[in-house]
Amino acid sequence: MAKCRVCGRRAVIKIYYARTALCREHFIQFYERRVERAMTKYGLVGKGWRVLVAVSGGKDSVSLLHVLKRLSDKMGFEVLALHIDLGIGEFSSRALSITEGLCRELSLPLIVFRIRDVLGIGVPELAKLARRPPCSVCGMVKRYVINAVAVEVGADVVATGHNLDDLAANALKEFLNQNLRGVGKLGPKTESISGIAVGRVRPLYDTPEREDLAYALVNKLPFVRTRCPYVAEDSIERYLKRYLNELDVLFPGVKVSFMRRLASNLSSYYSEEGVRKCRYCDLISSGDVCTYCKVTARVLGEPAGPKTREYIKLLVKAIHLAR
Amino acid sequence: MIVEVVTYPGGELVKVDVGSKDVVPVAVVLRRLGYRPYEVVVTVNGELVTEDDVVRDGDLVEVYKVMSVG
Repeated sequence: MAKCRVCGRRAVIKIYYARTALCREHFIQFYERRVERAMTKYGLVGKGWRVLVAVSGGKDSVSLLHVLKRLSDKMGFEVLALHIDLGIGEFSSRALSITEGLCRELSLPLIVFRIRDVLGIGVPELAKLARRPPCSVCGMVKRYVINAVAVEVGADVVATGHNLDDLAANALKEFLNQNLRGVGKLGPKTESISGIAVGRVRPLYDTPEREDLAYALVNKLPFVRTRCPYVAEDSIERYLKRYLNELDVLFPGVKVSFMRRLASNLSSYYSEEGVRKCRYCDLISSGDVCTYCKVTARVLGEPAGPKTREYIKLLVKAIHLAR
Repeated sequence: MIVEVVTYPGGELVKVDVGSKDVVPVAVVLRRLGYRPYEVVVTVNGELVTEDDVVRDGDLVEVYKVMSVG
């Protein structure tokens, strides 16, 4: 039986890259301290800030919401949750009910955005009409809605559950594609741009995916345990994650050190040149029209940005979250 | 002993033959399933365990593969 390095009790998890094992109590402490340290080190939140947490119902965002709630009193920030119902049948219904249950348990306000209420269709149908892969359309919708809701509630930042493995695999993918501007967006945070974009923060930047899962399980948090029916089985990110984990066993700490070095070197890759305001919805865009308005205009006959923002206004008003 | 294992994501039930012993380390179950310990998180009867802990007849073993689900 493995023993906890700190107290000698039965260990519940081995942390391979640190060549250590921890009991339940010391694992929770280890996980929460690392998130807190990341938030301080990278300057992710300030006192009195309103933090909108994007919660999909998966292990990462559920763990993120739980740990942020725990840290919010100590660090003096406010937490609100946002869930996007993507209209993917039973998968989405389950994800919504899990998120609602968790927010009730944590006594946190939850905003639920239902894509079908606005577009009349879900992500699978939108992807089909747009002739784009479902994951690409899903990502595009989520990025748009998260930003639009954050602007509307006056959030200071949006926190997402991207973990070390997600970000390291994405960074490698962008290097392989020589999309260096994309690499530059994979830091622990992006900055807000007044009125059109709310900055994103990634408190799990230094946290391996396996530990998000373990944190959700030791705290008995509900989370989605099935795979999205549209998730690509053979995506390059999945292979890269596997290789990075094998590398991390051979060279412990290589993954986290890669991302920490990247975080201190982001300005070599990224500049905010070319940021504009969408002609239709007044939110951030790289061109005259944002991708969300462009795709919905092509597929549905009109850009959906303005009515999406109207719908969000009503949602926010209904739960008295406007600032 | 046949160990019944629920694997995630998905919740598929898998029966694993671990030989004639009544008590086996989790590591043996993982090996039979083809998982390496750093790729998964395991619970036995709802409690998180390491691969050095043991599984007994009738235990509920759940193996969570570490990957994003959506």
